[in-house]
Amino acid sequence: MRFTALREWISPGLALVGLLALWEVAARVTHSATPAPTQILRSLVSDPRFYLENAGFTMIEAVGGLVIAIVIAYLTASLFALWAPVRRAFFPLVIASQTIPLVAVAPVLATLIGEGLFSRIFITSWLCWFPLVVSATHGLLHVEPEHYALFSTYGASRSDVFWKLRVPNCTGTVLAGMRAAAGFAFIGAIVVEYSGATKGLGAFLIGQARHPTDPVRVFGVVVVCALCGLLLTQTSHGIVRHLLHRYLPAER
Amino acid sequence: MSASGIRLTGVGHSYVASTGVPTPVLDGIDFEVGRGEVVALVGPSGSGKSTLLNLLEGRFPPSRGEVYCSPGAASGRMARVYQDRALLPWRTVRENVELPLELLRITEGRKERIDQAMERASVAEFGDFLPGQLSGGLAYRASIARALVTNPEILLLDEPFGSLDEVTAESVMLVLEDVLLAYGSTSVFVTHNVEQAVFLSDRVVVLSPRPTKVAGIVDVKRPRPRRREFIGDASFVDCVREVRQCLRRDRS
Repeated sequence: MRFTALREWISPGLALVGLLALWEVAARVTHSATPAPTQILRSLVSDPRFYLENAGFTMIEAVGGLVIAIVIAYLTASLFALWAPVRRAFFPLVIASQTIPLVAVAPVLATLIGEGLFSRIFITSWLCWFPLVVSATHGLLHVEPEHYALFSTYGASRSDVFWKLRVPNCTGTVLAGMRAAAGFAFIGAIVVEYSGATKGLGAFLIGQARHPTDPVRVFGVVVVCALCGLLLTQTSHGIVRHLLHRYLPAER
Repeated sequence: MSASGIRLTGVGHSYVASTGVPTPVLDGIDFEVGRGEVVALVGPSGSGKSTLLNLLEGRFPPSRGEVYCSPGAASGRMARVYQDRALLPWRTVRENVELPLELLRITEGRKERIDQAMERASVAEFGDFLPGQLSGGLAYRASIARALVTNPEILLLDEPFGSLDEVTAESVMLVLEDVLLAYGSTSVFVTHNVEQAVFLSDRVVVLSPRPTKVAGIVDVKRPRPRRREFIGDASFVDCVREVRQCLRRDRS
């Protein structure tokens, strides 16, 4: 079993090493402005403070935004599940709101709400709120008809139906929504920094886009962005899965 | 008619299709179930057996006629065992059995009631299992235990052996026989298996194809408890033949 898992990693691993080697050779032969992988690696190793500081700053925005989004999304989804008129009125608006490209609007929002860490966290939370609210609403509403019938046979109260049926029922969709939202949170945090932040991975990237001075660090930051994104999605997924493992169909 | 029992007089029911045209399902159903009696409803697929159970449970009123079923739903004195078991997958067997007591806010002697119900349904040793870990027969017994935990006066069973193989169905049938005898609930069960209907019931109500009428009522006079030997017995074979004749007569 373990060997099979290992074998699954061998091919993509070899392919990656091959591509990196090709890149290395090309960069050295052509002397292009694109730094070679070894240069990027050297920068990452020799200057960890720069990367960690900026990554930490962006991570605070992403995690803060994600936590706020989770709280607001579940409160909203609960309102939708408990009061059909509220859902009928506002759920279509939630869906419609996604036709606004928030990534494009984020800089405008930043100028409207103001600069600063808290406004960036807030905008980030807005960016990752959607997958959470949609998945939670779906999970809270779509209970098995026979389960619902069982609860009504015993004259269950609305609060019993909510806490003992709807909430446990939505945990599977929560996990899916969480994974998407964590990805959005990190992208959101980077994009939000494009407008006026002085620290953070996004702030560095936009600065370099305007006045390119350090291409090696730009690539280093891109690598760090990828690692942070992976870390955030995997960690949040792991935490939720750990907390909810008995409620998840695939885990049983 | 005793205080606790079931009586249907001239019950007809139609479903209104999306086109607005009513489709008659039941047409003039009359039968009675005395206190503590077990009645099987046998009929071809689509003969409105489940509709009859829903009417008995009081989910909706019949289009015509009268359904007397005391005590009614949501009183905690009526329980239903669903064809798909309707066990909550995130609760252990024991927690599933406890659910009706939670919903009805019964705290007195909770542990004893659960133990007894699980004992009777022969699932005592599977209390800590999640439904996903159970075989079909065990899951069905767990759902019987859940129905029994409130000491129901009326027990409705929907296709108890629907998805079970023959050997499992027979063992569940024997468990059910003991349960019905021990609890003395007035019971109605729906099935399309003639042998199982005869084995378990005091009376078999044979239903015709749609729009459904009562095609015949066959009394099974064998005293309880019934054991496996009854299956090969001459009186058993006679009853089965009689039920089959009713079914066939109506089809021709």
